[in-house]
Amino acid sequence: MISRFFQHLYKINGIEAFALVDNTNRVIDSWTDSKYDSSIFGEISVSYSQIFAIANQSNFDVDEIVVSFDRGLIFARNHHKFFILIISKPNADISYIRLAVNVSFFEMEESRKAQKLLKRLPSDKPSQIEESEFDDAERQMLAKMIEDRNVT
Amino acid sequence: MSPEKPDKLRSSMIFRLSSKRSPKEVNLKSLEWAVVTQLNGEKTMGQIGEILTLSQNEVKQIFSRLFDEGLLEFIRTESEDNSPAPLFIETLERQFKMYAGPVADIIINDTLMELNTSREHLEKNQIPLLVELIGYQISSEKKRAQFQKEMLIEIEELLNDN
Repeated sequence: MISRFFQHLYKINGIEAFALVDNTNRVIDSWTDSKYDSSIFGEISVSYSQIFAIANQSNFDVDEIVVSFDRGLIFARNHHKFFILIISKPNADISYIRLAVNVSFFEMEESRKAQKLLKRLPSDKPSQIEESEFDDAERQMLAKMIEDRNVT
Repeated sequence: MSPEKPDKLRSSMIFRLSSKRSPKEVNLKSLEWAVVTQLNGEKTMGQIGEILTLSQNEVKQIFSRLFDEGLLEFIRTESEDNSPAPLFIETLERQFKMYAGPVADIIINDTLMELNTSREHLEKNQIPLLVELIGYQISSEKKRAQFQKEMLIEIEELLNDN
């Protein structure tokens, strides 16, 4: 599977889990050490999928997001066919992770086999926000954002 | 008055509690106390950070504060284990010259200065960042990725030797 292109990540101290998530928010492949259950990716991937979708639609150049939480870091990197989520200890070296992800993406681009696999994945990252599911506070916030945008 | 502070805190440095001032005399935060309990004159800053799952920045901030409060005494730097093999810098230079030409040495030296370090003092944990920053100087994405791939293999060998 595609995850075999991410072998470099296993060699980095502090990486505790990673997952590849396609544009429909489906976890294609994942790996975790014993500390995490792979179901964790289903819970957190929605947010990242949404951020990358909105960034894409708005032509924002957001390809990488690093968020720290109480037990470590979440590193997310966008690819036009999927995104990768990496959970690491707080002391993991982000530059090392970035380097490994860069190289993994490069090796995928160079591999015909990977290209075949990628072709089967959906191309667009659809925004999954349904306005009907908003609560009152979210509707008001959205209205305020649109109003502010129209003023500027 | 705090003892002489090393010019730069490095993860390879080893400290012990100062005999001149007790931690009880200072209002410490919980993480600072956690670091204090780990100080035994043998563990490096990096090892303590790993035990307490702290980021490199957090470790440096905490050690800096403890030092400024006069609670630490610097013992030594575990230099043998943490300075990269000179062979790595040579490899980096050789590989980067293939992409950047004769200015490669200058770019490497400038980048080392940005990182507040030098060829002699570069720590192993700074190498990925050095390679990342140097890589940005290669304008072709494909060539940059090729350079990063070559260097990643070297880094993996270097770091897994430990």
